[in-house]
Amino acid sequence: MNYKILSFALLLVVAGTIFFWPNDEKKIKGNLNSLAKYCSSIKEESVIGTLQKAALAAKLCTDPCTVQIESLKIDREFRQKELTDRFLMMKKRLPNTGFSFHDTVIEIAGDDRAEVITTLRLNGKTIDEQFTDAYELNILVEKKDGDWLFSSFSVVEFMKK
Amino acid sequence: MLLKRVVALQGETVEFRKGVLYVNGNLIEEPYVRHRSDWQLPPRMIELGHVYVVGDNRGTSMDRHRFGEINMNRVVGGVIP
Repeated sequence: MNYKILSFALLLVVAGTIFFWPNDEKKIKGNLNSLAKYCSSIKEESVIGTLQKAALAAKLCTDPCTVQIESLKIDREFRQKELTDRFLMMKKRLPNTGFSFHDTVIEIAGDDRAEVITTLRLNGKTIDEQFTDAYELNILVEKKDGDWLFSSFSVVEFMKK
Repeated sequence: MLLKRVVALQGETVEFRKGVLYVNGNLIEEPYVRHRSDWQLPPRMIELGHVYVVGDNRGTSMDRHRFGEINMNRVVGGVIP
């Protein structure tokens, strides 16, 4: 009887360890969630808090990091300092806006490269009403010194007005 | 994944005049539209294998709103009313 209980407990521990073990996919997803958290601006965020979040968001990216946004005619590499400034500008421009990633598909392409296809959703509030915006993103991720960092962001433009 | 309304099919001509939708030159009544805008879009024919999609909330400027012609292979499903 005791042997059965012990076996079952052992099986649970093994299954739990496998389930909760931080594999590469979970680490990348975790970084995406952190990026969303740092980009989001909540009401009454302090100046220091905003600065810290912008810097932390940039630290999740490689130095340099490529950004492609066809509609804004942006297609170049950004150094980490410039990325921090851009994140800061974005947070100032989009106060009370929440960022979140949905329908995320992660493909690990080797030991140190991965590709992410995801939908970035913005939920915010302008002066008089609530707004929602969504963008399809292709993100490249590279493993540097054990950390998965975002090396390229590309907005997929699939709608032609 | 985005949720948009299909307003025109392949081969049809779509157009916006002061925010009002015209398909093949006919005015389309759209009671579901929230916050009608003043969008101006010259007539354009939808390519083979494509559809034209627009969201119902059109309060934002045309530049900011994401809508337009898409390939049918990007449509993953419909909405059951």
